[in-house]
Amino acid sequence: MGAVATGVEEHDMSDVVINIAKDFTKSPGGRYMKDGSFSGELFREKFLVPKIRDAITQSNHVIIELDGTFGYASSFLDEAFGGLVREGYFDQKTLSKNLSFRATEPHVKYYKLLAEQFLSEATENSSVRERA
Amino acid sequence: VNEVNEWYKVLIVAGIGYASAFAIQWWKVSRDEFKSGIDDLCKLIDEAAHAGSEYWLTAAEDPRRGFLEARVTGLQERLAGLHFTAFKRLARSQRNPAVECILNLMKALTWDGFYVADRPPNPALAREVQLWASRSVVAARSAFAGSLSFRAIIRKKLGL
Repeated sequence: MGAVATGVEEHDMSDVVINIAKDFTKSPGGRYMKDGSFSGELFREKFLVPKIRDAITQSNHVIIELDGTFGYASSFLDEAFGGLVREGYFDQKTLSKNLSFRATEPHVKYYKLLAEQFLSEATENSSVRERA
Repeated sequence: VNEVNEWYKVLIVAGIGYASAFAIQWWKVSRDEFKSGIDDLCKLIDEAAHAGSEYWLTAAEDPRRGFLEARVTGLQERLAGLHFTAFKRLARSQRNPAVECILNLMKALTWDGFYVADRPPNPALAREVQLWASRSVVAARSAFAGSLSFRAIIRKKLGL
């Protein structure tokens, strides 16, 4: 687990936990970087892709903690998580093995459902509008 | 001996009567609680739909846009919270029609263009918000109608 970047918590021997509120921002933005700060695209490129790649090479598991933010735009969740498959970084099978979500606050469980749905519905090279 | 037997009978009948009254009262309270929950949820869905469609129809230069953006975000949080805390049984399954409809409503509320300062009005998303809000209300009322029977309430109370 030595390869895990600063700011990302080590949970146990095989889990890398990314807490969006602590490691990224409490105020997630919209879909694309051009839309403004803290977009889903930025989160995917800066955090998710590198961490998941590390996790795969070290046979680890990435847990995304969704608690603690001021809510999520659906476009953020779709671009961050659905974009992992759509942009061709990983396939569904790899992600189902190496990525999961955690939400403890009651209202955040809804965002967890949304994120899981975006991930499961995404297909490689599909456009955003196809799935809207 | 006969007098003692009569007393037993009276006590048994009184006990049955008390238990029945208690069960009926319990059912009524649970039913009213459910009913109130449905009404709160549907009212919130309507409110979110109104704010959402107003936001999507607002022009880029409209000074209300920032407020509407914050309002939609807040209502989305309330919707998610109320749905999960008050109606855990309904929310337990993603396949529940009401849960699916509210997920779709939330998608439409904050979809592409949300947080984008210079986006043009988006009538298609405004319509989508209203559509999923209406479907959510229908699905929520239908789901709860099935939860109002005495049997469903007993099962819920017993955690079955």
